[in-house]
Amino acid sequence: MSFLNNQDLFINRELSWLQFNQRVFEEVQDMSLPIFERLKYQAIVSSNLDEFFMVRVASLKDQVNAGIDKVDPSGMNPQKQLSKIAEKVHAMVHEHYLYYQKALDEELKRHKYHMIAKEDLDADDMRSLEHFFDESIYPVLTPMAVDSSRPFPLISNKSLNIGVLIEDANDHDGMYFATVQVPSILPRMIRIKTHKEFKYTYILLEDVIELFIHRLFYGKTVILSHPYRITRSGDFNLREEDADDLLREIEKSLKLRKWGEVTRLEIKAGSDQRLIDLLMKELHITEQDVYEINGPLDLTFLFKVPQLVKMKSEKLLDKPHHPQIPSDLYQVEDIFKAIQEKDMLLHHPFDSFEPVIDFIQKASDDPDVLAIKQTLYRVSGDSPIIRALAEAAERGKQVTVLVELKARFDEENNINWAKRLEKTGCHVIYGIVGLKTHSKITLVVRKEKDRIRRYVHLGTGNYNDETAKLYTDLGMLTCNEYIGADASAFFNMLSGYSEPIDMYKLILAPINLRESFMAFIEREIHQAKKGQEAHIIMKINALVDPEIIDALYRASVAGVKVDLIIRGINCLRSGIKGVSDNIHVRSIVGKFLEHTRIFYFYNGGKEEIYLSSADLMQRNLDRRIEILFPVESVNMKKRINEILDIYMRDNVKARVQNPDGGYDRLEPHGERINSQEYLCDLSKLAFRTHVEDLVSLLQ
Amino acid sequence: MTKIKLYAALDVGSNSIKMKVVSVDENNQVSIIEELRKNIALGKDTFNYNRIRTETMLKLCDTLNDFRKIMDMYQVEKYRAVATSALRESDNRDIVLDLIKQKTGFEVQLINGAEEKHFTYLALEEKFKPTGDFREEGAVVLDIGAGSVEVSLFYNNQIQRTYSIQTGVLRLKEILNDLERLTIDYPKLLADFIDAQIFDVRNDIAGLEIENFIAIGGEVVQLRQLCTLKGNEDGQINKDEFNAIYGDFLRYPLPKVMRQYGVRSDNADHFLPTLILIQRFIDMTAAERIILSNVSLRDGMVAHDCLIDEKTILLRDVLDSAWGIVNKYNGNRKHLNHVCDLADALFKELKQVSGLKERDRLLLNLSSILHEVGTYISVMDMWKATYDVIMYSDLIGISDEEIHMIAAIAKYSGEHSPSYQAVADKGFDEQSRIRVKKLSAILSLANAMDRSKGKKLKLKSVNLKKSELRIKCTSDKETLLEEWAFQRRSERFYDVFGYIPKLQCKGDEDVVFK
Repeated sequence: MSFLNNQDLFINRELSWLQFNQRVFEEVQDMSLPIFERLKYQAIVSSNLDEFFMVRVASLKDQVNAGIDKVDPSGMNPQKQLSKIAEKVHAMVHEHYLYYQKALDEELKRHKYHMIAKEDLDADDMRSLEHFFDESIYPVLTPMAVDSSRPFPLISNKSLNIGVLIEDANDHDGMYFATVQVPSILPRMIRIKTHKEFKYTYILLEDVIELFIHRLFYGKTVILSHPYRITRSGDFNLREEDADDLLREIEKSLKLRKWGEVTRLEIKAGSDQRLIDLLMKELHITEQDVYEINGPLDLTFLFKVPQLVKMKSEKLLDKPHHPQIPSDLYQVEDIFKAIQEKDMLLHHPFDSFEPVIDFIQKASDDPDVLAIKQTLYRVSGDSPIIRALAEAAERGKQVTVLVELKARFDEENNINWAKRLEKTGCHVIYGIVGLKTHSKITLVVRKEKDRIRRYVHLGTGNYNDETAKLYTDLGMLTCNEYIGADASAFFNMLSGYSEPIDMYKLILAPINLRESFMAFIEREIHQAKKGQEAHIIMKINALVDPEIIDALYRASVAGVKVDLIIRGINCLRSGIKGVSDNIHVRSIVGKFLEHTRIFYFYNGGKEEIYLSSADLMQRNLDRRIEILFPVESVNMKKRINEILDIYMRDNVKARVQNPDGGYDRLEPHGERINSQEYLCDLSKLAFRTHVEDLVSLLQ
Repeated sequence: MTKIKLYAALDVGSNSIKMKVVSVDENNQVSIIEELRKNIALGKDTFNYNRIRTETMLKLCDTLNDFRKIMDMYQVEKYRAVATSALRESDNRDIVLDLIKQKTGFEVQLINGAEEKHFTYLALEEKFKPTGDFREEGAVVLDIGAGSVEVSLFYNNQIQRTYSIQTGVLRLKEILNDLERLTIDYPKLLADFIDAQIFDVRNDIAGLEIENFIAIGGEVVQLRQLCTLKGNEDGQINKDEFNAIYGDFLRYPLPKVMRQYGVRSDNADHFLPTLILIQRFIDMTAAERIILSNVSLRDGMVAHDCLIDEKTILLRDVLDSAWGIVNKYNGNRKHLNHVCDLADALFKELKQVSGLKERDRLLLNLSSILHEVGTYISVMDMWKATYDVIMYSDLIGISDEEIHMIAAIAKYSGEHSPSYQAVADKGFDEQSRIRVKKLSAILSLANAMDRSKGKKLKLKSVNLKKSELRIKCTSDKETLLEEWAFQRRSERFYDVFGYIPKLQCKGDEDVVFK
């Protein structure tokens, strides 16, 4: 039995992603949240969409250009997907801006923040803005005109521009086109004197430029000007496609080109059709790629709003969460000894990321440590981890760092510190050809009195102390012999010193991760068929892989209870009679980005729990180096079961998938549980209890 | 403060280069720290071109340098690096060894099948120590390598026989590669070829009723995993279960059956011959189950260098295997034992003045045991035959060069003193030439003392006095023949050692020097 050929049972991944982005947009609409938090969500929605056009839409366009007509599991070819995406995104963007204008803007005004329109400026404002334009803006503007001798200039990705039509009697159209990039070095929002009852009044930079655009074309007549913005396909080499052959096909069809193809044009609603037509022609796009925006282009500037106003009022923002040091590690002098006593589980950002940094710093300082090996994917700019590694190398320890340069859009940052590490004597490995290294693992080798002992940190998230405050992730610190040996073997494999050898505990992609998942699911199916209890819980960011989805359908049919907690893309359809009635899908979108990957299998009562860096997508299973690791300590398993239980009981931030594939919020009844808030409270409580215990001990 | 020793065992094999890093604590507890394997098919070069190609050599050096980094990381104090058949048999092995030395600093030791076996048995012994000694119960050990297959028979607490058969899995692949596409029944072709190669061994083993069968090396580890998956603990499988697997592999198309059993496809070429070899050998024994052991050459090196008192174990194994050869060629054990003791006694006394080492004593012992094996083949030309038989024998733990020395010592002990040139012609260097001459002179004298092979002389003492080597013996029998022979050999002895050998041999009481 296989469901692979039943297209109705699969949801297109792009459309599912758009649904996810809409769930984030629902947070913008959540009136219970402080206004600035909602603005941040709006900025996230916008920046998500940018990346979607740079990566996903770009890939589909490439496929169309290369003549690939392969249908996805839901039965859509690339062309069809593009039109469907365009249809959905047009509607969504319309909704987003409507909400921005009608609700967010109004609400901001209620809080006395005012984004003023050009038309509402008074003479005073005009004078001071003109001064500002002359002094600060004009010197950094570069207008570029297009005529028979000057070709259409290269408009860079995600830049904001102003398109201008200028009267020209000599031209047969009677006009020519010019474009001015809105300089990104200047702040997007410019504060001016306050108006009416508001506390703060702002105007957007592009509006100011438009006001004085004629100053750039002295002696000419400006017919009209409108802001526009384009999105291009991201650097091809850094994009991951889901299938090898697909990648090769596209590569063949693509000529060497420096600039990515344009995937979207955003232009102010109501812009002159002449300008739109001209841009469409020059940028080689069609009508469906043109998005008329009813409001400010590029809402990612909203990220900056809270910083800009330096508000004191806490009501406009969430109370900041302070990650707690887990009680087992609180005021612990010797982290190695603590790990020897027992494995440690860290649940970020409820638990602080400090212990992980401390672990690496202590390893760097400790004279008994022989080597530190680590995979680094996305690291924060001034990372304490990088510093500790560099110091370790300077102290003569063997330091091996695998740097993944293919971390999307992050590559330049990575190259800089990787070079720095190399200078200190670290052995830096720049990824493995064809396989992105996505696993997160640190190995510390220590020569102790009577043995060599290996300490390992394994995680579901990156070694980034900044994102660890915003993403939910799980990490484990252990000195389990088997995991230590596996970790050594893993690094030997990455550094090319050794072939992959059989591992004791770790399961790796692309070696045996897929077959292991399949075997775990089959095992539950087998149990269910025998009439025994069978249960799978997966908490992941994305479920795309058709083979896994098929296995989950078969599990459901066999009677396995399947609970899926999927933050983002999910191509599976739950609750279909006779196919997926036993599958329950929920998605949690909250103030922290859900990022943990937890896999639970009932296994006839001998529960198995695994954590991983991998999602259930083809690229994770087949084209990346990923690690799945078991959680074996009874206490840790108990804790993860509690965490899963809290996520399953969430009735505030959880949305549940219905058989149509849509997601509905739950009707509130009984105790309201917001899983992330609940976990924050829990960690604080645990910490407080621990400190109280300590104090009472001292008394 | 650290009380552990770190040791690395490196194996430059036919298919891959492997390294095991272990720590050994005060109580001789071994912990495996690292295991590395890098696939470099040296065997492919040797078996195809008779030499290792430069690019392969360079790859090998790169890998050794990588391994060195790991060793440095753990601050490994001691290592042993050995190379087996692929490198040993390549024409340019000296160049390869030199290049390795220059580029990586590693001293790689070429070892032959017998030395390999020695290590492996040490590992097996360590492994079976807690559960009893397989030597006592009797066992056939089948060691399937890439180049060759080594078979050893243990019973009555001794290695009785050892064989080296040129049917290693990689060698088979290279030999039969061209034929494979010509037949639809490749397994049959393989089986026929293997049968032809093991014909002689079959005759020796059949009928011995040995009940333990141990398979190691090659794809045995994979077979072992397959059995563990099927619920057989400790890597054991009974004969019927094995035959079922064997049958499936013979009957069904390879890709299908490999999928069914979850055998990695890159090992297919090696897995099938492994199965056939095990099947053929288990049928020769009375064993009802197969012990699929995962011990490796590297484990043996660890045991040898870190755990076991080398002298005792090596001596026992090597002497066992020498006696095994004597048995095979119907040697006179009583006489040989006697000569061995006599020669040993002479050696002990001479050791202080001769510059000979303890290792030379072992060579002398072995030459003494083996010095007549040629008689079985040709009485007329027995010394040459002896030389040839020894040259083609495997002696556990003895290198090819040493085998050559043993053969020469045995040969020259029976002939007139060979000229230096004659010994040099055999390809020995200066040092070895002197050792061969000295040891053959001792053996020649000891052999003379049992000329009648009747064990007539009872040794009382051996003493160096002034310029004489005084040997006191008693006897209750007529010893004229011995005395005559002794006289004839004494000049040669004097030439080599500068001491005149004197034999005092009388009735039990009054010994008078002659």
